[in-house]
Amino acid sequence: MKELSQVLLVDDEPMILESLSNLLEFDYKVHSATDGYIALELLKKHPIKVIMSDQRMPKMFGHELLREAKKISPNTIRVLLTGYSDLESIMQSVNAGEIFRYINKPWNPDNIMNVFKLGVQLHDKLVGLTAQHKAMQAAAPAAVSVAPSPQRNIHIEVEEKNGNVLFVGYKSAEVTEFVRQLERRYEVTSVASIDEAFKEVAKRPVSVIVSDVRFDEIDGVEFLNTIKTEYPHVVTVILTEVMDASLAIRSINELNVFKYLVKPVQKQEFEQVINDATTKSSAYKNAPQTNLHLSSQQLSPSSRAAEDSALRLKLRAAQAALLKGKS
Amino acid sequence: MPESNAPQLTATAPARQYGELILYAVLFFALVASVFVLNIILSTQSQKDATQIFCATRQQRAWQKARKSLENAQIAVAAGAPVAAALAEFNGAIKNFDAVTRALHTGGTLTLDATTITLERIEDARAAHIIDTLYAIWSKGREPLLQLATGAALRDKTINDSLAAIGSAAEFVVGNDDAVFNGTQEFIVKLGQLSTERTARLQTLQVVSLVSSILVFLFMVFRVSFSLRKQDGIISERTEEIIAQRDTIAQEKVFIEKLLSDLKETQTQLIQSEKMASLGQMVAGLAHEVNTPLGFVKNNIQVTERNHAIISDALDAYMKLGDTIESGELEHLEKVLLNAKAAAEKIRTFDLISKTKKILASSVVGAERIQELISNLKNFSRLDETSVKNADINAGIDSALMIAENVIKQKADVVKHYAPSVTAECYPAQLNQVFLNLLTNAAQAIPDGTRGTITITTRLDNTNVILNFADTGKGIAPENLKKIFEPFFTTKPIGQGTGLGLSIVYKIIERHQGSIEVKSDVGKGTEFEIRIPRKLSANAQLQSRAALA
Ligand SMILES: Nc1ncnc2c1ncn2[C@@H]1O[C@H](COP(=O)(O)OP(=O)(O)OP(=O)(O)O)[C@@H](O)[C@H]1O
Ligand SMILES: [Mg+2]
Repeated sequence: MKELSQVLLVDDEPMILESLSNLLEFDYKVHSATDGYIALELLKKHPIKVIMSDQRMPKMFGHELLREAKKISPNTIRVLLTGYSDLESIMQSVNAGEIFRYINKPWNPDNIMNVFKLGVQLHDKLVGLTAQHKAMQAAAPAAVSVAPSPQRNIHIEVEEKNGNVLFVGYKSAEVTEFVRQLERRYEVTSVASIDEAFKEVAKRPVSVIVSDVRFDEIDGVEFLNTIKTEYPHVVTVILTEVMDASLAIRSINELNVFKYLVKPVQKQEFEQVINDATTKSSAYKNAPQTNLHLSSQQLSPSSRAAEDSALRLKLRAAQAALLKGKS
Repeated sequence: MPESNAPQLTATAPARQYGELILYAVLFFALVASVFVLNIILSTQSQKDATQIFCATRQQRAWQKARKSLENAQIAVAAGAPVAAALAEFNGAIKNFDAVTRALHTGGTLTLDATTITLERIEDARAAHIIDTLYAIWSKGREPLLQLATGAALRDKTINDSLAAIGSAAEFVVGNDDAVFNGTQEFIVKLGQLSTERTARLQTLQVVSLVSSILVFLFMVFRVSFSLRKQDGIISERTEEIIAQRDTIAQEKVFIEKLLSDLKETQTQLIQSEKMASLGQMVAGLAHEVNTPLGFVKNNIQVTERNHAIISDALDAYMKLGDTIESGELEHLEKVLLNAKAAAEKIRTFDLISKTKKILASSVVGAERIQELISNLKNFSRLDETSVKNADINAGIDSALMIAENVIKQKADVVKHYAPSVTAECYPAQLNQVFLNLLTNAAQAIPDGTRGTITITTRLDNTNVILNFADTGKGIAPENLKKIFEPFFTTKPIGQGTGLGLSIVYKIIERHQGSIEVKSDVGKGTEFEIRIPRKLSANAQLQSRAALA
């Protein structure tokens, strides 16, 4: 019989541990820990592929545990279980790239099963990439500097300066400063509406989209997901007025958003984010296998924007119109 | 503030204005007076000038008369005619001349035509020079001529001698006639010139002071009318101000009346917001607490369903096996047996039977916990009870602890020192609110990332229940200690604290006729001690009910 993948559950409530172990034990070898310190010990001892932790525990917060876990075992896929009054504290972890999925209590058991399945697959992929990278480095150490580090923070330095940045959903006055600043290095366009955004992505090789998430009638996360489904290499940055924890969680879970920024943002910080985002986008383009969001979409197609969704159809129409115009 | 400005304005401004007016008046009168003085000086001067000129003309005439009479005397002597008359005339003329010349030269009094005239020495250098020269000429011939005039020179003399004396006198007179005549002429002219000059000068001065006095006057008029207008302005301004103030007062009255009615409303609203605040805290605390058991119960149900399916499959397989054995169709027996074993395999490996039993038991525990939370919520809020109850205080603190569990959990350990059966007549829901607020504050005072202790002590004395809540948090700065019970005083960031917590505590303790004390050491911790009477007086009950109504 094939050896089972090992996973780790962390919660200060033993009954949760017991219950989730029961759910997962057919498919995984389940370890459990009642606090962060025990969890870190287990993580050092066993080849854990997925770790899921409760956020609110005495001694150590879940997001702190996952931050440590990332250092000890970078390829382990990290999942955070959050409760009703945790929204504030998790915001800190949204942009830190520590967490693959947020799961709200009370959870849906099927969802947990899916996340673990996906997590294990991604973990294996990551391990494969790392091995491949090591082999390549051994063969030609200086030639490629692909350094796949875990999940959301894969940095691949590619000497390609120019990227294409698209701002969506801002009045032009709101972003002129940023646009002017970025124009030195990138091609920058700013459009107000989603329709125009679709036209732009069909027309030019957009690498980074900076977008608001609150549009009048359309769900911003869904809009960005539509684009990412069609153009997986596009990296998304959300720049918005309000810190909305549930939106932030959705944009991590559904979009793998690169950064969720709340206005006002310092110019320098913003430029850094865009630099990192374009680097990442070109990495995705050159080596799509490093795009874990794409992998996870491929592994669980239900997370892709539905083929017949209204937004998807709109995007298709924009693409078709462009083709017609060209021929 | 306009109240403090207005009196100042009235006190200083007029004083300054009067001072200014007085100054103008003085200036004006001084100038006018100077015109008069100048006039007087002018008239005395011209009088003096006139006298001098008069004397000078007399001097000239005396000289001419003296010369003529001397010539007459010479002729008389030569003709042998009596000479006395001519000499007498000469005598008078020459004496006059001498007196006038000396008076003009050195100053002094002289009598002319029976009037006494006082002269001063000429001040003007040019005129003085002329008279000096004249005097010098005169001094040379003065003695012999005067002797001749008195007749002493001729007495007892022969005609020839007399002739010689007269002749030498005549020689002097004729020899100097031009010089003296011209001198006197020049002197008169000079005096006239000087007088005109002085008059002109004085007149210029006069005109200047007249003009400046007019100017000062005009300026004064201007200033006065201006300041009057200003005064007018100030007065109307003041009137406006007063009207405005009256309006403000009227408005303020309305405002205060409104405040008063608002206050009543706010009071009720505060009671309302008190309830809302506790409701919010409760909902947050409860939702968090309920989701945990709800999570695993829900999960357990799904696992049980799954296990149930496995077990019932296995049961089916075994029933089939039994059937097969019963029916004696033994050719299938092995396959059926293997099927049954396979179906039961998971049950054995994962010990599904006992595990299912266990998770069912834990689901019951979870459900009970939810029930407990709900009943605690009921206990805590006791919305159904608005009357006084003899309530178990320890139980009340415990119910607050449960609501605050999600806040306290990763911040602090709770140590309880409860005395047995601590009860008091109270409004239990309100006291629970007090406990919750104190516990929440205590947990929030412990810095993130550290772990502290909250110690709760309850005890009784003869008349009071004494409750102590101590934490090891960051403490309260001495300057804030007085303010913490004020509504809306908070040191927490916007969105985290409303600053109502302790004000609600204070009010509730007040309603219970109790007292609350705080001790705090910055960096070490804070301690709240509450005393409430074990029996509420009827009076307090009435008041509380009124406050709640
Ligand atoms: N146990 C304590 N330790 C340290 N400081 C305290 C403690 N309790 C109260 N304070 C101080 O007193 C202030 C007022 O407390 P209060 O409970 O009235 O309002 P809050 O806690 O700021 O807001 P809210 O209770 O509405 O959330 C707090 O902001 C805090 O500075
Ligand atoms: Mg408070």
